[in-house]
Amino acid sequence: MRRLETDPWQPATPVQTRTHPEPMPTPAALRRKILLVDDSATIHMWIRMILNRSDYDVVSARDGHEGVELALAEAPDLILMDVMMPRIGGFEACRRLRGHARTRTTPILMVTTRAEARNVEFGYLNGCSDYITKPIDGLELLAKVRSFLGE
Amino acid sequence: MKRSPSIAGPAGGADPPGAVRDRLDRCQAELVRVRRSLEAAEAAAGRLAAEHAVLDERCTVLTRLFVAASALQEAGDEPSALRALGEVMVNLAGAREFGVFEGEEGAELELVHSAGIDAQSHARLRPAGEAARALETGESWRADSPHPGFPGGEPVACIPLRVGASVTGVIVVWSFLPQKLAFGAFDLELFALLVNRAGPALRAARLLEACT
Repeated sequence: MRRLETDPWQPATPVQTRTHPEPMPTPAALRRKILLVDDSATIHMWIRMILNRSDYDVVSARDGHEGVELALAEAPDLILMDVMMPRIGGFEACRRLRGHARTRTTPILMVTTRAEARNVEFGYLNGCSDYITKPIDGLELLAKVRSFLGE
Repeated sequence: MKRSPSIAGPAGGADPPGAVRDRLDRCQAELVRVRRSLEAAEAAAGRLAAEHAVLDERCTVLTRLFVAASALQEAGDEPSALRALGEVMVNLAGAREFGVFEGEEGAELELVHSAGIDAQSHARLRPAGEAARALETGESWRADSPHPGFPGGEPVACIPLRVGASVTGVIVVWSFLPQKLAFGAFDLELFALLVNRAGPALRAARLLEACT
């Protein structure tokens, strides 16, 4: 009897399952919440459009002081924080958030034009988790957000 | 003839060796057909993924342009309009050192907004080189790359501000953020948007401020 070299019931190459690029809308209760702290209206509009498209809830604060208060009240899953802001800057806000049990482990991504090594180091010393530099690349932002949210 | 018990035919009897071979051949042919279909489906999936990437990139560009246009349009007074223009230049274009100059045609231009430069020493601009050309032609200009290594003081991009048929000013960029490594399709479209929208947005904001 002639034997088949390959099993006819198995595909020639493994079938690759593809996830749909735009997942179905998530119920509001299950959406991850992201706090955006920035004094720039342009950044708010741009980041909101990126994150809302990917089904995240975005809460906004216009400066570091408001950002700390909102973070403690809303307990977001992740915080995007500008560096240069009125009242309290991003590094100081980050340091204060690390002092509260509720936000001690919340990922904080600094959004900044400053990517020089000393600023990065200073940010990490104050408890930030990572950096995103301006001009913001939408795909890079989404990739970092998803990575820190464990998605 | 002795029949093999393992090769049972449809009627319970054994198929002759020729019939078994026919069935195997048919299975082989079916396997080849299915594999071809799978390959075609995988190729189509690859094409769709590539198309999706292109559309996603285009969508991102359009979203950023929408943000820039909205930011300029929403300003209700001159300071807000200049702040919005500055934010667009930093946050979307990635400019680090730039000045927005306005003035009458043929005269020295006055600095109305800036970032990263000494405002006093750049308070007035006597158009020359690429800035003068941008004012004359109404077309934006940029160097080959955001960091062309020009001598200090040489602009790397000039974006004229058009209002109708006249040019009312120019945005001169002396440097971009170090992480901006190249000009992309978005930059060209953003510069074109600024050429046509920034001037009218500033004028509209001033008129609105004067009226209210």
